[in-house]
Amino acid sequence: MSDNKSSVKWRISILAIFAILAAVGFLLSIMMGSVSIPAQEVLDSLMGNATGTHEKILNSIRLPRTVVGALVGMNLALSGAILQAVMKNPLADPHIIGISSGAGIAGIMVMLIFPGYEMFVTPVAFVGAMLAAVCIYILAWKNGIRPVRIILAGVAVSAFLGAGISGMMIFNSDKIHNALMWMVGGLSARSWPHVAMIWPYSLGGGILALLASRHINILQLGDEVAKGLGVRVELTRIVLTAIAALLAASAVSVVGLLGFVGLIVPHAARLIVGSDYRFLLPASALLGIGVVTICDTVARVAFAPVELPVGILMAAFGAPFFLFLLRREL
Amino acid sequence: MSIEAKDLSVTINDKVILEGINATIPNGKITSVIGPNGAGKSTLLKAVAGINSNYGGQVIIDGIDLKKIKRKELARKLAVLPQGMQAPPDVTVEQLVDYGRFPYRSWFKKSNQIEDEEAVEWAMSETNVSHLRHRQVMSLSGGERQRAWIAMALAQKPEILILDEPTTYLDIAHQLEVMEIVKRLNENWGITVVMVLHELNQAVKYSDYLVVVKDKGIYTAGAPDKVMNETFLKEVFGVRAEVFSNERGEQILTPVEVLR
Repeated sequence: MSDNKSSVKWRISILAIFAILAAVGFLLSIMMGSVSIPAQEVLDSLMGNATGTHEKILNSIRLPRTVVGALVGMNLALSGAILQAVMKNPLADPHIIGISSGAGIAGIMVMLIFPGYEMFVTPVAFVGAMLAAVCIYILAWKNGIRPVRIILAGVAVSAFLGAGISGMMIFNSDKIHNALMWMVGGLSARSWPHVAMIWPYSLGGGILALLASRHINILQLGDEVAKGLGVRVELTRIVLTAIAALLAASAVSVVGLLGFVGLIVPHAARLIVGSDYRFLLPASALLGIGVVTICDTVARVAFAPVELPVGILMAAFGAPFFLFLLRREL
Repeated sequence: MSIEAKDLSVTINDKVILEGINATIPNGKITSVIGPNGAGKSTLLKAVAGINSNYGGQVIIDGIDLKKIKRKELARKLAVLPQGMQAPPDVTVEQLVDYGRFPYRSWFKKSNQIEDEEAVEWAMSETNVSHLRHRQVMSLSGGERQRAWIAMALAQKPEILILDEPTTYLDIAHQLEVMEIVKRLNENWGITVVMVLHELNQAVKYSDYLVVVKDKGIYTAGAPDKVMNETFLKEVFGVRAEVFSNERGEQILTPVEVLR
């Protein structure tokens, strides 16, 4: 009785379907909005021979926003997938290593305490995220790293920083709107500078993660087996955690604390393609792109002219869908 | 390949687990490590296998200090199976065994695929799991699963195989099956085997050499018929037992009572 999930053919077809989903999400996100732009024009513009009347909207608003959404989706999904294996815990996500709370408190500090300097939110949030991650890693270190200790240290540090976030918001409740949007995560007004901020991490992190996929597979067998097979477990774990931290930090520092993608997308991908990371990583990345771009499109279009933050929509639709997958699997 | 421990000591969380261990594991033989619970058998195995490199003293493999051997290089010579192994639920036997080829692969260089396939097929047939290749490891029965893990270790093409309680939780038939596999691997392929066993009659029957661990140190070591006697069982396990030979000349021990 062989399981179809493990056949290479099945997994490659799933990857193809996810790739189509990502492409469709990408195109829809560019086409749809307060002004609809026909697919032909979008494709022409993407090919570089822009002729249409909507060139300006495409190039300065839709395209960069969509690219940011796609890269964010990919980074968070990859980060979550890596962390779930490294921490050997299905609840591990970028939140657990302090990325969200670190970026959260740094970003909110800029918005609320130094409101004139909002252009620094992204770099400061990035630094905050990485500081929190390093801090948790150091706190969890004792003759090496045990995943459980990272997770517990992560919970404690996140709670501590969360207190700071709540405190700042209560003392500045008059200018809280931006901070709230940041806490939920959204793509509105994201443009080329943000693309420039994320893509190097997406490219570098993505390539490194794929190269490490065989190591991640072995890590899933447990530390002792992995050591026996010749993996330098401590080193591999530090490097992979750092890759995951950079991927997630680059994403949340640009769009705010999108919670859902990093936790649920890798699980959804795992339920469909299985746990071989050579397939799971690309599947998570593609599904992340598809989910964020499609949800952002719906968030813009469904309640026009009001625009919902994409984070709300993703959690509202994604969680039930994920539960459906989970029930069907069990 | 020979393994030698020189003045080996292991301390875990400020607690001394092993102290002043000197032992030589004979090359090309089956060696069993026996002793009471908590004596440090698994700890000894982990130090010798390079899983825990946090020890004092030296482990010498083939004349080279273990700490000076690169992990992957070691994994091509020595395979180790700890206790209580877990795999993701969808990993099949064939995939698991293929993971045993990891030490032969590197980040950028492609490995020799034919060699990999041959090793995987050989490992599966030696352990009699070829017919289970498409089954998920975690869905197998205890005995089948243990054989699949041994196959993974064999795919490493090791000269030394280290097993920590390979028969625990298995029924008597599956225990014997694992022991027979171990014996065949030793006889046909000259693999040096070191394992922790609890079942003393099996240790006597299948081992060429016994290492007895008690109270952080080595109580004695030697051929089973030299080691196994009533005094030994009393001093090491605190058990009164009768030792006699059956008509095949095998030593059999029957426990009688716990001595207080």
